[in-house]
Formats: sequence, structure tokens, C-alpha cells
Amino acid sequence: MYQYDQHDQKLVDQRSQEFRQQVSRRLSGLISEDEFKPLRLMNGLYLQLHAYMLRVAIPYGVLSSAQMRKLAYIADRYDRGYGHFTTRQNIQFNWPALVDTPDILDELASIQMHAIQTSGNCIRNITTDPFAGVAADEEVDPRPLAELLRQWSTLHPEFRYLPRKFKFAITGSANDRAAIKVHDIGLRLKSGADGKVLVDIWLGGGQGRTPKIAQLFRENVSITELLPYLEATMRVYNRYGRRDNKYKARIKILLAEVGLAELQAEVEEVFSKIDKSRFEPVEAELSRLDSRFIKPLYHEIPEDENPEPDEPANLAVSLTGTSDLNAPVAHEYNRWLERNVKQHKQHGYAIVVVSLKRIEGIPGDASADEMREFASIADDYSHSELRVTHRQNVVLPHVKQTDLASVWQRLSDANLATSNIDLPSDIIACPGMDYCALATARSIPVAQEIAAHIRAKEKVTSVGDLSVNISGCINACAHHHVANIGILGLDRGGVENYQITLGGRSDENARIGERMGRGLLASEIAPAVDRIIDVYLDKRQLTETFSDTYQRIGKAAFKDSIYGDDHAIQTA
Amino acid sequence: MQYRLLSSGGEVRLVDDEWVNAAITIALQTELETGDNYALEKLVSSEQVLLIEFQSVADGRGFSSAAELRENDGYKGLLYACGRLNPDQLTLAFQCGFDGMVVDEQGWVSYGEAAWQQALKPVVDSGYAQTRWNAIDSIWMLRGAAVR
Repeated sequence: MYQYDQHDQKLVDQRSQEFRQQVSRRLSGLISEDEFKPLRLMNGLYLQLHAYMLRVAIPYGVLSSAQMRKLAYIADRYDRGYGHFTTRQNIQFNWPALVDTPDILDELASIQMHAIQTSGNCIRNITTDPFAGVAADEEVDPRPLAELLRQWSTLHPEFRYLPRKFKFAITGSANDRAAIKVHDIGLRLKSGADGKVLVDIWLGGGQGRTPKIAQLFRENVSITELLPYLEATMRVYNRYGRRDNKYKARIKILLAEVGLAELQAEVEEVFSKIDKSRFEPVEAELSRLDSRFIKPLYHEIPEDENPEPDEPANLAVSLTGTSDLNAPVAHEYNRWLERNVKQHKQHGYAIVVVSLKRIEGIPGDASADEMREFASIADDYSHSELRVTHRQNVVLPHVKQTDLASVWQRLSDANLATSNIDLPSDIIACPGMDYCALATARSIPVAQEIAAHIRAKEKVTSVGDLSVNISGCINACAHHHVANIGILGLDRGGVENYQITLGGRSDENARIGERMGRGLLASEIAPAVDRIIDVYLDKRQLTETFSDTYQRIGKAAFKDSIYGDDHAIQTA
Repeated sequence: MQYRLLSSGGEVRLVDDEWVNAAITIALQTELETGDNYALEKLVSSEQVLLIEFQSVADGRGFSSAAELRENDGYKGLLYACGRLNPDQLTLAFQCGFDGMVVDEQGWVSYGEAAWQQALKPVVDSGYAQTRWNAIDSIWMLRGAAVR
């Protein structure tokens, strides 16, 4: 993975020193909270319902074990012993004291991390496929470009005061696991005919109160033209994006208002006049970055050897002395292999996804002890590397197939072997009204209740991949618009009220979910989700996904299941 | 009314209304229009000073307007930022192609002379991406130079 050189290090050190001075001016009363606000927001420090919240960037979701240990240390030393992994591959600490935040930034700088541009109207953390560089279906490894974009966007003088925040996501695979079509700009890397990388630029996607799927803005951009083209695009957005209304300030609104053709023409015009010689250093930088993302020293396993994960039966024998495949331990391990282990591009290796969606747990939360255990397992079995996903889980990207049983055992001992990846109980939830100043309803307790409600069903049926996302306000941090089952918590005269949308998806065929009807009370949500899943299980054909079934049969049957007479729903 | 004209190199010069009135203040477009936004054929070769007004600290349009004037339109004359800017933004202004900033009395007093003087000191580190007008090489330039 990428290692800072002296320049990267100097930049984060300087920022940390600068922030220390700003905090000290605030603490001594030299500047007011109003004056301090833009300064702290440049460094990811928010003021939430109960306390400050510090959002730390995990660039493109990649973490070393040393970095994960430091996050654990920060959680213990400066917070309440846990952190919250977000849908944008960041981690949030919910309880830091203002006086401690400069020390936290110093701690982060010491392990090549920072909180730069994790808030404010600037280019935010660049996100990508959590399986980047290891996915079996990958065409182009997006990490070198993601790092290049991180550098380009960091402190770029022209784009620090944009009309609104700006989010990039990148994928190098036809199967989009980075949700690029619901980002301001999504980049799809492809391998061209001559082996050179080409980029499709998707523009104007987003969620919030005006959800939009991105449009294909420019196809087959060469790597050498990409940065000048993006700079031209940002320049046009910065000049013409609306600033009169913050809800209409994202680039998706500019695109909708002026139209695709006119926006393309304007960007082309600016692009044609940009001095491309300014970008000459980019080529050298990209090849330097390529060399930083070489594959780890895998244990080469001959193609004709087929190392399989340890059989559940063998595991049962070693753990319990019985070879009964129905022994609970064998059954659990088998389910975990099925749900949490993904195909790796290196023969003999596997990708392990660790679920942060435990029963009664808080989606995306990890305790300091758990973070240390991740680090330790990564050191022992995954080349000291980890990833965090936009679905708020953790990935061990380089596990030998023959180590899978040992990894499962370690995770299981730490209560981290929940085998529900991409199942309905793998819920994305924002912090909601338990923490967030913007929230209009709680997300976490509702997520917990749904999970508890549908876990049994997941075990006895083959419900398969089905996404349930819950946002506690219209800003849609939990991506409810693009969930198969999306839930939006609102406030109706002081009572929490939850709207359901169905049929959304965030992959390469991204769609915005359709709203069903009037909202439900918190207590009605879990049973309603249960009945929606029943309709799907009843109506699906063969291997149909939830979206397929929904597209085929339409909303009526699902809507009936929510509001039908049998259920006597009391709504707010 | 008097203003301070802050220029790269650390110079602070007093100018008056007459100076400001003699300069051309560019009104930023709010609508996207293709074509000649600034009647540039007249301005590009002009000897007159151009000012771009920032309407609030959060309104960064002027940074892109400056970059566009310099890079896309080839303007080579004097270009200053004016309006509601803070000392932290002076560096960004230089990096985007401004020759400096016009600060009115209120801005000068509210942030204090010390903060403005501090902001005028040369930037130690200019980030990664090269803008055309940086006196200081960007990180990518430095890395490239080290390889050569």
C-alpha cells in the first residue's frame, strides 16, 4: 500500500501544527465559535448534538494494521473506546474534547493519516471498491489513480470554496461496489485495446433530498487527459454551481438545470484551453504510484493445486471432536464461508469481509479491542492490510484459503464472525438522532430491531443478497435511496415517522427506489420489512434478485404487504 | 476611502477610491453562458487593472474566474481580488493567478494587521497540483526534479 514520502508527511504535519494554533486561539477566546467554525471544518471537526465529532479520512478505504491500532489507541485515549465507520470510508470519533483534537491530529499524522477535507465545501475523501487490487473480476486496479486524485484534490487552491461538497468514487470493475453512479463524479476505469487505461466519467449522481443517478459525461478519457479534464469540470462547477440555495448547490442540480449537452460543451471549451503542460509531472507521479501498489508477496500456489478452505467437517472435528456436518460449529463456519468470503484474483487466496452488523450491535461501530483484533489478524493472515467498505464493514484482503478456518476461529472468538454480508441484516445506518445534529429520527435502534426481526428468516431461508439502508434524515448518509429496501426517518409533529422506498440499487445498474406511501411508526418498521421480504420470497423466480422481482411485478404487491387491511397499521 | 493593496513579495501599498474606480471590476456571472463572458477582446490586451470581487468568504467563484482568465483567456495584465476575503485566502489567490488583494479598512482592522502580514509571508508548502503562477514548486514538481 501507499507509504508517505517526506512531502506527504510535511504537509500533514504542517496542517496539524496550524490547527493546534487555531484551537489555542479558540480556547483562549481570541476567536469566537463562528470564526472558528470554518477553520475546524477544514479539519473534519463537527459540532454534534452532544459533543464535537472528528471525521478521519481513510483514503480509498485502505488501512495498515499499524493505522488500525492507532485508531484503537485514539478511541481509547481520547474517545469512549469505540469508533464509527461510515459509508464514505471514513471513521468518526463521537466524543473528543476540543482541547485534545490537536493531539489526535498529531497521532494521525504519525501514522500517515489526517482529517483534511473530510468536511466543508471541498473535494472530500476519494472512495473506491473495497476489493481494489484483489477482486477476481477487476479490470484495472483503481488505487494508484485514487491516490493521485487524493493528492490533486488535497489543498487544491481553486477548489477549497466550492458551492457545496464534492464526492468522487472510482471503480475498476464492471461490478460496481463503489456506488459510483450516486457520486458527484464517478470514474469507471477500463482496460483499452492497447492495454492503456481509459476512464468513463459519470457526473451528477447523488442522494440527499434530490436523488439522482449520474449521467455518462465523457467516455474513454485517457489517463493523461483525465486530470486536466477533471480540473476543467471543477472549474465550471465552481463558477456556475448555484450558491443561492445550499439544497440546490450540488453539481447534479447544475446538470439538471443547464442540461447535459450544454454542460459538456462548457467543460470542453474550458478543457480545450487548459495548459496541459501543467500536468506533465502527473505521468511521473502515476508511475511512482503504480510502483507503490504492487501486489504483496503472495505464496505462489501452482494452478493445478486446488487449496480449498478447510472443510466444515474437519473444523468440527478439531473443535468439538465430532465430524457431524450438522454440528453447530460446522454449520456456522459453512455459512460464514458462503456469505463473508469473496473470490480473490490470486490463485489460492480469498477476500474475507468482517461484518460490523452484529445482533444488537450498532452498524459500523467497532470497539478499540475489536480494532486491535483486526490489526492482529491482519498481521497474522492478511499481509498487515485491511479495508473498510461503504457498507460499513471491514475487509481482510489477502487471506490464504488454507488459513480461512483459523481466521474464522479468531473472528469467532472475538464475536466478529457474524455471517450476514449483503444479507438484509447487513444494514447500513447513519448515526441518526443518537448523535447527529441534523437527524430528524433515530436510525440505530430501528436498524437493531429490524436485524433482530429478520435474522431468523435469513437462517432458515435462502433470502440472499438484499440491502436495507436506514437514514435518520433527508441528507441520506445511509444511502436509503439506493437500497433494495430504503428507510428514511423524519419528524412528524414530534413523532418519528419512517418512509419506505423499494427497488433502489447502488451498483452498475443503479436506480433510485420508489416511495411506497405514508410513513410508519418506529415500532411498525421491522414487521413491515419482514412482510416485504416475504413478498419477495413468495414471488421471486429462480435466481431473481430483489430488484429483479420488484421491476417485474411492480410495487402493488409490496405496497399491499405494508399497508394491507390484514395489518391494521396505525400511522402517525 | 483608503484600501491596502497587498501584493506577492510582501508589499503593502495604500490606494484610494480613485485607484479602485480606475480599475475594471469584473462582475461574476451567475448563469452558465458560453461565449465571451468578460468582453475579453478588449480586456486581454488592456493596460487597465482588473479586479474580481468576492461576495463572501465562502464564495470561491473568483478563484476559478482568475484561473480561467489567466489560463483559458490568456490575460497577462494586473489582476487583484477584492471584497470579502480573509487572510488565509491570500495564498490561494496568489496560487490561482491573482497578483494580490485589495483590502478595505474594515477587512484590514477586523482581521488585524498581524494576520495580514503573516499571510503575506511566502508559502512554505503549496500542495501537490501545480498551478501556473506558483512561485514555489508543487510537490509533484519537486518529486519530478528529484528523479531527474
